[in-house]
Amino acid sequence: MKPGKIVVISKLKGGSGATTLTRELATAALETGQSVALVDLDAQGSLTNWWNRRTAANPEAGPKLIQLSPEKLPNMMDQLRSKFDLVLVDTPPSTHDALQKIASKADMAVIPTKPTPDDLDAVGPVIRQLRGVVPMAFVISQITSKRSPDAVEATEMLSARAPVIGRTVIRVGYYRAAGIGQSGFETDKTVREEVQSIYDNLTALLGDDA
Amino acid sequence: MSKRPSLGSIGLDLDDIEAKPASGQKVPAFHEQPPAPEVDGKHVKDKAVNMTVYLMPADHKRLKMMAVSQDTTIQALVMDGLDILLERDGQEPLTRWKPRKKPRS
Repeated sequence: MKPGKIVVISKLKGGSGATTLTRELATAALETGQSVALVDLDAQGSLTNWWNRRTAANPEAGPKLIQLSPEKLPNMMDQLRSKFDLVLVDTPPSTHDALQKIASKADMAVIPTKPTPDDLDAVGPVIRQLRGVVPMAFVISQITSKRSPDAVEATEMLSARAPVIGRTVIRVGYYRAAGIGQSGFETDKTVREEVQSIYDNLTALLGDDA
Repeated sequence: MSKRPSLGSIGLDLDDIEAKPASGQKVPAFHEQPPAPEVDGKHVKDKAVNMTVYLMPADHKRLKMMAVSQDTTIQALVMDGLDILLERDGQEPLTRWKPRKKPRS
């Protein structure tokens, strides 16, 4: 059995859509039959709350939620790889050293960001922290429309530094589904198309297509 | 090179770290822990501010010779000199502290 992949969702600025992206990618992976685990390192606990709602409705529903402190996680990552096909780590808005250590043992860091000056300003410290530590990729999140000029410009700027693997548009489909422990991927056709594209690009970068 | 820690030594079983359905717990905000309280140091370098003074070599040599002849340090001589200036200005003398090393005998 090939070892699973670990993807860290990294950001410095809150509200960048990291938790949303984490659960969307998790449910996209589940549909392909993969075993998926989540690690919620954000004290806000949004991903944990979502998982609790999801498993309250259906205790057997994937993904699994792994409860580890940031200090213990690095020593457990090989073990997680041996058990799961994909592990997604949702991190707090921070460039704490502990997060760099976790990222150094991951296969990929995905950095979601909105295409606003404030959000893009907060991407630089994350890039500097992770450059040379782990391969990176960006997702432009919460754009106002598919043809948003800000999103186009942000894509050009970020793609010079690492691959931009997709964009998400602000849609109620993302948030309404979360309220009942589901994902937009599972409940909304348009969201599904967006997330599927991001997931396919991510798996291609991770080498799962090989 | 440090030895890789054994996974078994952590004392955790993978089954134990999987949350039970609808019972996941939030992690503490590790990145927002308050900084450790400042320790009131016993010696000068624990809390004093470092200050550099530039002197011509001959003047530095004279100060060193004076320190040796008076069984003291250049640091003490500089502080004595600054005390004179502070006193002239009507101010309190500089705060002294317990020396880290024993005084020269």
